[in-house]
Amino acid sequence: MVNFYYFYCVDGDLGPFFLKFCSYFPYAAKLCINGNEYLKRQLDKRAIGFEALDNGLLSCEEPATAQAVANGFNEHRIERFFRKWLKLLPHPFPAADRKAGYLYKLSVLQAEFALTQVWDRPVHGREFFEQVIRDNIDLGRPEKVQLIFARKMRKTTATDGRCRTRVITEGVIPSLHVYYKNTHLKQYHKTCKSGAALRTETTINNSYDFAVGRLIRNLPKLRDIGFAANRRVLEVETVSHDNRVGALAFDTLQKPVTNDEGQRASALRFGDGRVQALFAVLMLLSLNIEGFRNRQLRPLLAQMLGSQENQFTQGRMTYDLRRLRLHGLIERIETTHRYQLTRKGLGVVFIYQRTYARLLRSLGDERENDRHERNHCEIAINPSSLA
Amino acid sequence: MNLPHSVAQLQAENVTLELEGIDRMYLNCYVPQLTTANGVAAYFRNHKGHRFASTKQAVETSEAFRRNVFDFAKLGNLPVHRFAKGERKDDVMHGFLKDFREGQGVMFIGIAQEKATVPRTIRKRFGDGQGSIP
Repeated sequence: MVNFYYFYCVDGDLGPFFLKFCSYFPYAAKLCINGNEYLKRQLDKRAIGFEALDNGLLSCEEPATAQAVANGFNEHRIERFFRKWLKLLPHPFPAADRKAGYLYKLSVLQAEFALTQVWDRPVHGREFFEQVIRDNIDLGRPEKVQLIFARKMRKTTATDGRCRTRVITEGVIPSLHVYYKNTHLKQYHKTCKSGAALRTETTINNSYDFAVGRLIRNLPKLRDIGFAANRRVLEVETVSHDNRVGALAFDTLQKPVTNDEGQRASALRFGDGRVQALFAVLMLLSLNIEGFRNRQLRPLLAQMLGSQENQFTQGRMTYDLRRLRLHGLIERIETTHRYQLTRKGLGVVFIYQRTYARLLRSLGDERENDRHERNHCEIAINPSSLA
Repeated sequence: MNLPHSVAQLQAENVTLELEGIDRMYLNCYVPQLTTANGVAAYFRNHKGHRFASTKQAVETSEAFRRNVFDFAKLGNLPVHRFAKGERKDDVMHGFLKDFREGQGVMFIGIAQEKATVPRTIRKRFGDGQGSIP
């Protein structure tokens, strides 16, 4: 156990923060800052009216300016702020050491990237969670985690319990937690007397989870990953509810299609096992930022169809990709061999999968139940059938 | 009767303010040259001019830093708070923050004992107290 010296300070630009130094060589230090405090200070300076939430904003006179200010909280500003305070506070290394190049550098130990959405009425926050919990309880399952964080999931990571979902109901305020390695995504309510907000927050505890270095100069990359993860969670939650595939579009899929250039593609029939397997795989890869490739789809589809990966050739996959492309469900990303789902494609995939899983499969179960019940009735009516 | 809204509806129609930003950040501050054994040896031998690299030679710097911290507190008339075991540092900070009126400055200096992996800089004596392990 060694002594640490904590300097609790207030900065004109960043608000309250602390910097702690270890009293032993090599005098490692830790800096704790808060982007929301920075935002509040900057809005105060610009004389823009706002109502503060516990750790964020509940309302603001100029939301666009507030967003621009929040975006301006970057690695250069943090670096400048750190150098400023190192000059003001006692420095563990004498001036000669610093002159010789023994200077502190900053690296990211933990960073939280938050998206705050304020509800017009607190009751809407509760409705949101009721829907989300009912439909997206499986967000922490490995394949979904792969979607949210756009990372390939190793078998060990998928099975060692580091990917999981927790739904916590503390008092009456629920929260949703998704874990991926050392990264934690949580969605919860922030409430105060005059309102409520939904906070979707990704906490990156180890940048190597995403093959990104820890130095502060990598903050933009981490920022992109964190905010993209927040957005994707909301997108997964939203798309699954906002599915507007019309009867005409559904009907078109049941028939072969010919495009303007005379290219013909066969139908994507609802009852076709291969189509359902293909859509199941597309759902897994649907929100991957980088899209997907022929090579990525093949092993997954082979697994779904219960065949060996080497039996599912590149040509067979190309055939399916062509069908999807001509039906307008996927589009090729320019200058790459990657594809991505169109908005229509995303809707169709969800409709096919949800309807199949929730309606047909459950109907199948009911038929099975009916058969059992009939058998029981027969036995009751005619006990001799037991013999 | 109010029908329950879907997630998509709620997101589209009932959000009054949306703000994306960095929340809390915990940063590590380190001297890159002193993160390896060779770097530390070079620091003591090449930079400090010692014949052997020994952490004993850091005692002087550590003592000077400790003195600087307390001098800084005295000079700035800053409160020094020793955190007790189990005491929540955030609560203590909020207590000081409530009374802090300046736009910028140091609120107080806290001292806490924490676990850390650091090289030993105290001497261990053996036998009759004459010999020592550096």
